Amino acid sequence: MELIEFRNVDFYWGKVKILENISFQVNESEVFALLGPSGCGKSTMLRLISGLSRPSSGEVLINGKDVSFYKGRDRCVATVWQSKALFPHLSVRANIEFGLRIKRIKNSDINKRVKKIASTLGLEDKLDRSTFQLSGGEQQRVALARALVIHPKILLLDEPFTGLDQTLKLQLQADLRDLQEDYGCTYILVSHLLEDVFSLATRIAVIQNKKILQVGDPNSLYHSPRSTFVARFVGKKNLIPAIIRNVARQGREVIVSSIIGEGNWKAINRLNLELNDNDRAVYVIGADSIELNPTGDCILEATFRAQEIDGQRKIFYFRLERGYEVRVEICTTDSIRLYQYVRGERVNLYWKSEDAFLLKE
Amino acid sequence: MKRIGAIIFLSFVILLVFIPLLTMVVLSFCKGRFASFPWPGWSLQWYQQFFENSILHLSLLRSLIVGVAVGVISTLLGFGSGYALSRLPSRTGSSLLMLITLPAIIPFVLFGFCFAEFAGYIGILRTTISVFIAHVVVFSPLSAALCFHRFRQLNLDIEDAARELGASEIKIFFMIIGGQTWRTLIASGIVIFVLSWDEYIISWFVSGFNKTYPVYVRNMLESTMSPEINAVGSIVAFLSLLLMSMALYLLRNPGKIKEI
Repeated sequence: MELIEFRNVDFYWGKVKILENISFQVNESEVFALLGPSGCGKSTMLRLISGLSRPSSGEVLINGKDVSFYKGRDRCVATVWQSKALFPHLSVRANIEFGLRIKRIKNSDINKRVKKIASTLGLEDKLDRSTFQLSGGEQQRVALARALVIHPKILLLDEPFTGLDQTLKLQLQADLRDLQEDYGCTYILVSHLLEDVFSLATRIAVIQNKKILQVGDPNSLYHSPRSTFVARFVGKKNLIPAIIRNVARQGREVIVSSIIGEGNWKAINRLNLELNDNDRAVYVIGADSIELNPTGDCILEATFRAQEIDGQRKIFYFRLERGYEVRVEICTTDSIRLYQYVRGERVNLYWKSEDAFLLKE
Repeated sequence: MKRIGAIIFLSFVILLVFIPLLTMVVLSFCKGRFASFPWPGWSLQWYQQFFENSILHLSLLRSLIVGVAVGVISTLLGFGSGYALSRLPSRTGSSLLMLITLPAIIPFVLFGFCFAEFAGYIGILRTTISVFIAHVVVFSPLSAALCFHRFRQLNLDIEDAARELGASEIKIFFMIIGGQTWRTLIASGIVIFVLSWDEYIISWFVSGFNKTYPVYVRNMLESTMSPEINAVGSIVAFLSLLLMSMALYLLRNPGKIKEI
């Protein structure tokens, strides 16, 4: 059943609109990510869930009851703040205990719970230090411990991975996965980077410009974006402006010609868009669907610009006319030796029309 | 070479700053009435005289009471107003702080004169109470400014974190805000105590026969020029320096803030 529900929520900061008509649900034990660029209203949504801010209109419900119903000791939401917000004048132990002391839990229970979470997060020998004697990663873990020790139903994590190096990030992601099994709480994760949440989240809401654009599991967002923003932000797709030439009346095949370069390609109208001949559209093709050797029925000539190697993948950047760029990811170990191009070289790119689809501009 | 130059220069500045004070301390131990050559010898007689001067004790006690009361009340006023101002929109807060600081930065001679007229009008002129009120008016904005700047440094997420963990507003104020700012609070109290304790001009206008210690000492200088003043001065200067060092230490280290 759904644990959190946003119903047509608007939020204004003074006269500035921060959120517009937000509606979504989060189920119990989910890892739900709010993904979007900085300043799109993600953190405000967390404040609404924790009841620190009230929606200007609409409702935020937890277990079917308005969040303002949960007050003081009944609160079941805890946040790991982006600024960590540790109490700087208290020791690590006092920081972790804080929520339990407020809830007037017995001393023996407090000690037991603090000990448990501290050992899970590797903080046992840091308990009597002051918070500013810790490294960034340790502070992050203290913030996590302080939130989890009260056994919240919902844990809100505001940009938990920023400022951590790759090793710490992976460690924290693994810890979060384990902790969810131990504590069984629902995570709401806020991030501006897809990589940070892609492996962890069960569902992602992509937010841009005060609104939710699309909600779905990571795969569906990656493979079937419904807007150009999601295609670019989540799928890292190549977007090429195109004109509809011929809409096949049967089936979903559409012939388009690109506005830049000279290509006449087929694409699948996967989203069942309302398309007419001579409409403008955006032709979407994934970086990992493009090949550099002749396969597939679509072809495009482009200028080689640069390449980079990322583990098993080699990423090529090609330039089209009018400043458009195409990214190509080739995922074989051979590609390190194969495909050596000089800057400025004209190269043919190939792909299968069934991998491409169309979006409205 | 550069280093030696810097050391010499700094030593010179330190010497310059402390020479008047040192002269006073040395003279307070002088055997004769005036320092002369050859050195007349060492003595504690001026300290003894000070310990027997009950009128001087009374003025010191009066200054102590006024100073402590002014320190406490001004700091409470300053803490409250500093907190309120810090939560206003940035520019409004700073402007209002400037507004309440204005009376404190007009020349003390003018302020003393005006306040004496006002005190006479409401019938408290020449009382210790009027010294107390005048000092609160002049010094509480300083406390407000000190506290204001400390409050502005606080990360507001920290209060929200406590609120979310279930803390009541009263607990947040005392445990979280108070916990982070008590050093500034105490430092402000000490600074204002020392300032009030040493303040002469306003006190001269309003204290009348209930002389505070600086007024008494000034009168003493006019009448007798007794070296006893050097003894009193040395003791008071020592205490002031001690207290100010404490205040500066607390202010330099306001709750051990570090970016986290």
